[in-house]
Amino acid sequence: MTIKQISLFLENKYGRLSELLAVLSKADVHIVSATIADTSDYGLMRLITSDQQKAYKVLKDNGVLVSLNEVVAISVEPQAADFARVVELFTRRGINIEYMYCFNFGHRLVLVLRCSDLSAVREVVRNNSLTFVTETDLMKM
Amino acid sequence: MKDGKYWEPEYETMSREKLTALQIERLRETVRRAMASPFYEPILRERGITPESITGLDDLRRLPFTTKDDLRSHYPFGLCAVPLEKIVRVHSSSGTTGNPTVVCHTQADLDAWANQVARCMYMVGLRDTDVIQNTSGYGMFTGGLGIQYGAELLGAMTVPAAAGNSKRQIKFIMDFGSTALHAIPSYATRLAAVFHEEGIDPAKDTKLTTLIIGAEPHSEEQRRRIEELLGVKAYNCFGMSEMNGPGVAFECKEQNGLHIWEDYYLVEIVDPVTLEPVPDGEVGELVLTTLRREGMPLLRYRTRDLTRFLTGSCPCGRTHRRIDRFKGRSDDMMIVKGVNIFPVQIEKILMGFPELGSDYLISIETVGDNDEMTVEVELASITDDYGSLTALTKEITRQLKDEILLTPRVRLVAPGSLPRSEGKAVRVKDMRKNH
Repeated sequence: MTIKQISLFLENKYGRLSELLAVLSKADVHIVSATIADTSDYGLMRLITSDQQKAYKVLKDNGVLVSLNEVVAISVEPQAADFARVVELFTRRGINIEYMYCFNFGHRLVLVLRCSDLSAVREVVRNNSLTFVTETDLMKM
Repeated sequence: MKDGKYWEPEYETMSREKLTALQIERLRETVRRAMASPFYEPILRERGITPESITGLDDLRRLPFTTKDDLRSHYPFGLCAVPLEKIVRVHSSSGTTGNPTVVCHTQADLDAWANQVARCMYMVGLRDTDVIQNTSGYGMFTGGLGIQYGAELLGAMTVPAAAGNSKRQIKFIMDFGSTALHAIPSYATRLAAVFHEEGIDPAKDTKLTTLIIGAEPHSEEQRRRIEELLGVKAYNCFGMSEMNGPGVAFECKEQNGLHIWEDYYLVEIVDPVTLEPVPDGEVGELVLTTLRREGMPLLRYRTRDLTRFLTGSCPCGRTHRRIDRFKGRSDDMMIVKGVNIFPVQIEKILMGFPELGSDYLISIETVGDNDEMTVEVELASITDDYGSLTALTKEITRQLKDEILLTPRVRLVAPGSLPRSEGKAVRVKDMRKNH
């Protein structure tokens, strides 16, 4: 029910992103989603690819500072109302969303959420017939 | 080969009384030799100092101090005290500013130097059965040949791998079964990283047991970290090319201060400003007078290294006094906003954080009318969490402020992003206008 997300430490330095992506291209994976958030000195890049273990290994072997962590991915219709419904269900159940981002996957919208209480998330998804995106789904890309 | 506890028990455990008598006799001899040097002869003559006038150690106070500038301005042979045909080797420090300093050795000087190094190695348990690999540059840098001849005198198998090429170093360690390594601390850390990249656990997969580290000031925390990374005992070695090189002072197995060989050197610790001796236990500048050197005797040489005497006797049984781990060089001291700061103080704090790597860079620059300090430090691991990175930065800043009394800007950087050097690590970049 969770998928692996790769987080990369990215210094706020000219050319750094380009170096990282050059390393990543050695992994021969498809990029599903890549986001970068930043502070003034550094950023964290969050990455989902078609083969996370492979991407993680290539990055790590090349000395990139990475961590592999778990996020929840839920697929909805790409409409504001559906998006709103998920957030509303989470809010009502008292689940705190630490951060989220989304990407288009086929004709669906995938919401990637980082939440602390995973058992509550599972319950909400099951009781409301929501759809998890799995790593097997991502591999099909 | 020797099989006792000491390399030279008669000297290493000599009573203070006998040691003092030996020092007076050797100081007299040193003055006699110095009178043959073009640099010292006029100074000694003017002060009315003759070998016969030296009757006690107090007479040391009548002798002139010698500085690195004296060596530079009398480049190359102005302090040489024997005819040049007696000199068999010269060593030279890097002359980054102006002339380099040159030290001239006779064969007896080289033999004495090798003996001191062998004595140090024997002290930490190295024997003729050991395989000693030296990662210092050979050539003018004394860490190469100095360790080499000492290890050979000890009877060990030596691997003069010289500096650089970490993969080759590791191959030698594995293939030759090296049991001991001589490295500067920053290189030892670098080597540990390459071991890791190669998938080798130095603690399990090699025969390394002993590391000799020196040439760069480093904190106790750095030493412990290196010991853990490589699975060795690391012993602090002090030396400087003006006093031969490595082997002047060395830790024994207690790892509590460095025994300084008082049959070879007269040791003073003075206030760097007043040049008066500081009370035992207080930090000051180490001042050394050579007692055996023929080619280039040095009187009251100001080392610029800051340390203190450790009081009390050492459980190892050696009577030669111990000096503390170096606080830094008086040259390394930074004065920022009126506060005296040594890089090792900052290192000590950084090494306390498991999230951080071993490389860091301190930059000081003038912003407006103020000096500002930035500490960049490489991360060793991350989590997917801004909060923890921010909290880490804050905690480092707080602890640094407690230690150095001013608030630096702390920047976390990616591993491998700070400049690397195979030589001594560059830890401080002072970009202030009037520096």
